[in-house]
Amino acid sequence: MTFSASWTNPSNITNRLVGWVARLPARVQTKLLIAFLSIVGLLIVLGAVGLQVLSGVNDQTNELIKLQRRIAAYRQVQHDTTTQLYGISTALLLQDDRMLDTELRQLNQFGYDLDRMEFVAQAEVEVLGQVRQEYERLTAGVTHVTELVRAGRTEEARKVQLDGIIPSADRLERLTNQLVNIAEADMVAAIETTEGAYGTSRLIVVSFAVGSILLALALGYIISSSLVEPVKKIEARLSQIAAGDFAQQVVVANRDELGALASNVNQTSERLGRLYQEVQARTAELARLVGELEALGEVSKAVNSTLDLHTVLKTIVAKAVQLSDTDAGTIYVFSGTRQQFRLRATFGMSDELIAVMSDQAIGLNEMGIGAAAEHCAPVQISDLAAGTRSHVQKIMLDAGYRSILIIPLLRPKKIVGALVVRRREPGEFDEQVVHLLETFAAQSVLAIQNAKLFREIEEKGRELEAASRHKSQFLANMSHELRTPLNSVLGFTELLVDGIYGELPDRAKTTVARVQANGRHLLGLINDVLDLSKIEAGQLSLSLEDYSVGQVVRSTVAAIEPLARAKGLTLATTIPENLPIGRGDERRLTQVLLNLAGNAVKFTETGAIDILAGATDGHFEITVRDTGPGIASANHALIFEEFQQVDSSSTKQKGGTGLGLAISKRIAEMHGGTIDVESVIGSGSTFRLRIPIRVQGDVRAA
Amino acid sequence: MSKRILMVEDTEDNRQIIRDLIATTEYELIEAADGAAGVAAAGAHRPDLILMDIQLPVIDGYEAARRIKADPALRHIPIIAVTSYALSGDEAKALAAGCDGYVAKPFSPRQLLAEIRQFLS
Repeated sequence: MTFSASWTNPSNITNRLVGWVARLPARVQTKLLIAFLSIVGLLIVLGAVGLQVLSGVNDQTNELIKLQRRIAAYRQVQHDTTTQLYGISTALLLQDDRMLDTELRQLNQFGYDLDRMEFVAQAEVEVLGQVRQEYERLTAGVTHVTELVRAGRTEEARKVQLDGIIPSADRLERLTNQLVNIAEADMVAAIETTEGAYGTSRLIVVSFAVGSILLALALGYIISSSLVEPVKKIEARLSQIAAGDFAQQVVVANRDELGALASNVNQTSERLGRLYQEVQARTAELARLVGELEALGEVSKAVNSTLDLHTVLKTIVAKAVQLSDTDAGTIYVFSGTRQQFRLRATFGMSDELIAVMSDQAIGLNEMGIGAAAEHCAPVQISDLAAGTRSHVQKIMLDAGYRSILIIPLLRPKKIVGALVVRRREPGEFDEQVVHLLETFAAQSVLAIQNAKLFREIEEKGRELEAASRHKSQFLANMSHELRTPLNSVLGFTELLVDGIYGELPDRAKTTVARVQANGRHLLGLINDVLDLSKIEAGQLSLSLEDYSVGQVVRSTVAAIEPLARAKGLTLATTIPENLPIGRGDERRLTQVLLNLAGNAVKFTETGAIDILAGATDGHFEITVRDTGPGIASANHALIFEEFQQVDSSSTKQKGGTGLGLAISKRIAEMHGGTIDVESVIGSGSTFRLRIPIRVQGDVRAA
Repeated sequence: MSKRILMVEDTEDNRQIIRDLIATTEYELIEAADGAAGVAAAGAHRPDLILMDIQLPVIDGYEAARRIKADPALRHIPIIAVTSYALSGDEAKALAAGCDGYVAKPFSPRQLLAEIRQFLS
């Protein structure tokens, strides 16, 4: 039924043909070649048939020409016969001998003409025979009449003529007419035959032509359909692929290149589909990782930006719960002294549950957290409802949680706490989640450690602060305690030197002078040490007041002048007029200049000390130049350090604590200024104090 | 009538030095060993100059100076504060408390005497 239906439906036939062509196991090129060759073959057949028809027509034409010629010949015979008969009649009538001879020659000639008629048709042979007989009879008659005429037997001749020649001539005339008629009838028949053959040939040629066209159309349609259909299907499929549909397959019956193409498209689509799935999976994975990284970043930021442990742990537990896709979480911190885990931060838990859990002391023997701590490894319970439970786990089950994951917080080999997440659904936690939470656990450990370190540092800081306070107090006290007896020593010594207790013997005077010198040195040491410790503790503050540089220089000179004079040194000062009023700590600046000038006097044995004050560029510059031994350039930096003198033996020789320049440098720096030295061994030294004219603000030792 | 100097000083050695120093002069010396005694002595003896140590028992030198300067009958008496080098800002504090001059410890008896003569001349 289907079969007949399909064959009765033209489109079905076409479809079947197209399908059949598509399934042919040949290349597209081959199919096209076969199709074109079929059409060419049909054209060749058409040409052959046409040629055959043409040759038939040619034969017919030849036949017609022959007939034409026959008719013409017969007509000639007829005409000749009539002419001769008329000539003979005339000659006989005229009884003209010469004329008769001529007629006879012509008759003989006619006889030859009849003999030459080779193309006589079968049907006419008999008639032609009769013509010949009649002709011979006529010739014989005419010959006889001619003889009779020549013999003068006119009457007889006439009689023969009337009885013999005339009927014979009539018969001959009839026969020739008959010949022409037969030939003409043949002609008519031949023309009819030719016309029939032409009709047939035309029909054949037209049929073949129409057949070729139809075949060409059919082949073209079928082959192009067998090519275009799969191309259309593939194109549609490619559009689907482009739109992201990788699941479909393109079905093409072709077993040619298009079939291969379709199969390739299917394979590509399948591979693309797989790749697309992989890409999607990767993208999802990446998104997850980005989420984790972001969360870790936030956690890291929290760990680093706040030292408030509670805030950090809250951030960590919140991110841990969100990223592990669980319902609640807790961070416990382990107390080493109490050997207990205490709840420190939660996420997703009700206040009641938090309150209950806060009261729970979890020991190392607890089967969840305790086990994780003991084995230093994550512990998970996929269903709290199954098996035995600890007290804490019972509380969790009652609160609606079914599965828990516990990650111990470990400092190498030491438990510091636990990170716990819970789900309301039972089930295993996958490895990824465990791994992620381990990272969070590590961050929690860091946070806990940081907080601990911070607490320790704070404590240390407080201790240091207290120690520093104690030190300052100690220094102040010690200074006072040292000065009180020293005050007495120096006071009594001076009274002794001044002879208040009576004139001393010379040796005693010398001894008392040494006591006085040593007492003053000791006082200098105490003062310097105190200054330096104040500077280092940042407790030395400048009392800024207006001052006169000239006054500072003059005070200094007044102080060192006696010693300089005693050593025979020239002391020269240059203080320009109109120096601006400075702002700074006059007492400290005097201390600095006294130190520089005192050193100059101390270390110079012969020559001069020049003190030069000036103001340039917003700064005072006070230069102390001596003609002392000079300082090697390698030591220029060293002399400003504490307890450094160029030659340690010089301390003993020249006195001094070795602290003066260090203190002076710090005081100059506190004023925003500098002290530097220019010196060459053997050519003296030049120390230059440079400080801003107006020191602003509240200045303390850095 | 010789001028009177009140010395408020808690250390015996220092009192001895000043005592020995003043003994060489025409001045009369009155002594007090703590701040409160100093204020009382100032009221009782009306000295011409007071040498005021700062670190004193009972009340310190600042407070003693303030009390003396608060008394209209005593306010004219010049007070030389004997300040400690150890504690920065003592001079300023002493001046703020009403002292008229200062000498840093440890002092040179010679310089102290020069300072005293300046005030009493």
